[in-house]
Amino acid sequence: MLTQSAKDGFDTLLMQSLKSSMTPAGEQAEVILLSEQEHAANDASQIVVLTVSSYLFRAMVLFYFTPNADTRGHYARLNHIQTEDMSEQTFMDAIAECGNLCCGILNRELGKFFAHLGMSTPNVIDKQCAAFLQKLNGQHLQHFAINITQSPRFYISLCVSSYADIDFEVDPDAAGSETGELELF
Amino acid sequence: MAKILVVDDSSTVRTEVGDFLKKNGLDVILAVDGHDGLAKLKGDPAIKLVVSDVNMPNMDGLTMAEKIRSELRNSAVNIIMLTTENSPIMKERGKAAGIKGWIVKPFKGEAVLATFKKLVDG
Repeated sequence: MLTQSAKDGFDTLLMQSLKSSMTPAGEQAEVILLSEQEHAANDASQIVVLTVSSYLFRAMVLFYFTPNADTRGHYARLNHIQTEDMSEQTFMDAIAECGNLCCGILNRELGKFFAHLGMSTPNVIDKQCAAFLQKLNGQHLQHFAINITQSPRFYISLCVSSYADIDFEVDPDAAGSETGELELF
Repeated sequence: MAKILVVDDSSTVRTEVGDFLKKNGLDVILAVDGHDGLAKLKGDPAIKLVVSDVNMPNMDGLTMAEKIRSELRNSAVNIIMLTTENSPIMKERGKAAGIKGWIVKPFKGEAVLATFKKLVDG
């Protein structure tokens, strides 16, 4: 069972991770919680899915996208390349790597509360698969959207299944882990 | 000329890291996973630094680091992990395999360039 504090913690950490990983340099972004009704407006065609798991829980994160010009433009800006230089493979890899970065942040932050976490590699699936999320019997299903200045709205879902009682509290003002610095041994 | 081997299953990361290092005068070789990395290192004694992801299909970066020391018997090459992971357990495993350092993604080239050059020049 997940306490309300734990549910809020998963939401807060994912919202922070989304903002950090999906916002191109110099742009503004806002991550919001969506109701089921608001989420129904999500007309994306594909999903990148990743999981962060321990022996206590499994958190599945779904990043919805439509492979069109606006989405290409977003991922080109995110990776500092020209849209015309982005092949189909490069485009799909950029979306997958963005999911990888986002869940990497989530994984690291959850690591402050849980030992022995593991993260999957990204997988691309059809949007129709999302209709079966309820079948996972998750204890926490939440939908989000990220609004970025020059990009289309992107939708994200989180589904947490727990195998034990889970309670932790996230300080939303706590600083995240340092990134990009070389730690020499 | 001494070379850097960049190992990552993501072409986005390979391109980002490889292009940055090339623009800064370094000779770069790319590999897509641990298997590929081992093969490229085995065939090229000019490689002096390996920058590798951890989570990759076929062979992960930490297993590759262990095999570089045990199977290739190469104790000279410097190995740095570039990964989203930051777990102490993984770092300890890396230290046991003799890796030199750890970078948490995203890659920020300017922050590490000087050290990379030192490690390549030996």
